[in-house]
Amino acid sequence: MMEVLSNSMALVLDAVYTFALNFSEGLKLFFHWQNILANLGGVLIGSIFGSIPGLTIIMAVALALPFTFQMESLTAISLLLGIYVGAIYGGSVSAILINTPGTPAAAATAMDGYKLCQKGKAGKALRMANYASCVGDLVSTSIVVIICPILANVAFFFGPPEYFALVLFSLTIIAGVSTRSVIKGLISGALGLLAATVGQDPFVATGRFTFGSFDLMSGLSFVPLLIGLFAVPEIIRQLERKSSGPNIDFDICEIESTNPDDHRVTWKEFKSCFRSMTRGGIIGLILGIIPGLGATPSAFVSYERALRNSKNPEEFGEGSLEGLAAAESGNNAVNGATFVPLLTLGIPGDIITAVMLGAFMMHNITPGPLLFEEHTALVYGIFVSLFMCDISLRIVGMVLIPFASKIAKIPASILFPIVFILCVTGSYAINNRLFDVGIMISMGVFAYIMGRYGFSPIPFMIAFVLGPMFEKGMRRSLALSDGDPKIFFSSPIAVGFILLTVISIVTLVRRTRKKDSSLST
Amino acid sequence: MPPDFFPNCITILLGILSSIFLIGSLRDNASNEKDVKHKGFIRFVLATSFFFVYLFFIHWIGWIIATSLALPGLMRAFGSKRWIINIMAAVLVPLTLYIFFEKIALVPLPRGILFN
Repeated sequence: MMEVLSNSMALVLDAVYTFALNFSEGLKLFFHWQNILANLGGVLIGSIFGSIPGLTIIMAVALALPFTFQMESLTAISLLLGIYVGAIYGGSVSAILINTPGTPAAAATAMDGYKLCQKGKAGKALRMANYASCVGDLVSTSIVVIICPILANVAFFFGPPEYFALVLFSLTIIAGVSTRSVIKGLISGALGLLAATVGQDPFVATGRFTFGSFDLMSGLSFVPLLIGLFAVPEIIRQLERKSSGPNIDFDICEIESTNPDDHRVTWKEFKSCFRSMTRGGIIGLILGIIPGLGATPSAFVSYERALRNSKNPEEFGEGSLEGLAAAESGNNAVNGATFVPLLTLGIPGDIITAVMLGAFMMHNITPGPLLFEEHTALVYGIFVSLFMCDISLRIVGMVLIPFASKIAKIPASILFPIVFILCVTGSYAINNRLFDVGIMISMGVFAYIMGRYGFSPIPFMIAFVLGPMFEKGMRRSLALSDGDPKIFFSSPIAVGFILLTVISIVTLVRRTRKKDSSLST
Repeated sequence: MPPDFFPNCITILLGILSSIFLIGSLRDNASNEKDVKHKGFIRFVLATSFFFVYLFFIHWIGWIIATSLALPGLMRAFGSKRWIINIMAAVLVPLTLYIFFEKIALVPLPRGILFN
């Protein structure tokens, strides 16, 4: 008995020691001025993008990607991470000030945030949102850092059939939850898989769907496709809106209170919201790890939990600081958590991590279990960068909050033309060819038309990113079994994921049926 | 496995999904016929052609001139009526991006085949 105990103690101590050693490597790699600056700059850019309605997180990340091309990999990833974290926080600024969530995830924040603003407590609400974002993110990141290396060990059991089953599961669930109609999501995903096959075949180097074009031999480039799918449709929509009504004028709530307490968060208030914030952090962590869910449900679940456990539930919806804190910590906690499946398995859980996967690949890094072996310092550098984001978020919050109402007011007429120029220049700069700009614009028009008919570009993009992995998993497995499809049911992990896929399709279809029938009655 | 194996699988899948979608919408359509009129259609066509014309111009007269021309036009289309701001943007935005890409990132922006 004692021997078992001492053995397990030794194992734990050993694990802690390795962890500390790796973490210090990460610290050493991260602490260079360019990484810190990139992180801080990223949070600043993200916060500004997030706080302007119409500019989305994905747009911010897509437009920043071409600029990171020349950077060191950790610097580039720090910048993109900063933008991601900043933009999720930034969404709360417009949610509070103009009752228009800058990002869908901030919709829960708007419920109480705008009410607080109307009471003249905009400063308090903005600061609370900032604290809650930091706390939520910190809680989830701390746990992520611990569980990631453990999960990476599990991922070693993944061979081609397991990967095939896992990608199938992720694609289905993402396709299922990103639009109201499951079938539209699946069609969009299938189109994305097809788009991924353009170019050279990965095994025999024959051209597929190239139509004799030399430019298409290397396939559709990732960045132009991304920018086209997510930035261009928004520009077209904004241009269209101009015709059917006046310029989008927002009611900025500018009630100024003379009470200095209304502009800051007191220690007592912070303490009373602390439980909701940590709870939000844990909810965000759990929902963030599961592919496809992401920040929006997390914010609402966290809000709802806080409401149930609150001492003052009657304040919720009427300007409750606790509700605001719960929503904001819930949506920010997802940031770190979505990196768990990405880093350990190489599977993006949402669209932002899909973009990150693309960014990793641009820097010749393949996420997955081997990443922890081959690039240990880099992985821990990313963890340090995630923690650094919280510090940057506080600094940016302090600097930005006084100007928040001015940023949210920048007119679309100036912003969107500049965004368009950035789209074109960025798409060009990736491979120095105008062909990519053409791809970007065509994809933009395609995504716009898709959007008009209720098809989301999200499953398309994720399927495009995962396509090569999916195809390789499928063809390698079939090559191993001489074409016998039974191989996909040969391992418990693969069977588990295939079962999960079937279950998720059935539940998703049922859910939409229910919704439809409740709508029609 | 031949190279067309995977695309074929996906196409079959797409065919099945589309048929389900088609049957589903035929069944629903009887009850709720939606108005599919596209209100801003002309603007959509104009925007799209503007994008391609801009691309064409970059190819011929180079990135800098094309951008300086396109930016104020686009800003006008978005409703920015103050010409001072439009012209300032037409100078400052291309200049900043030019400095970044040409001097810092060392990406040569297209000069235009007319001037080459």
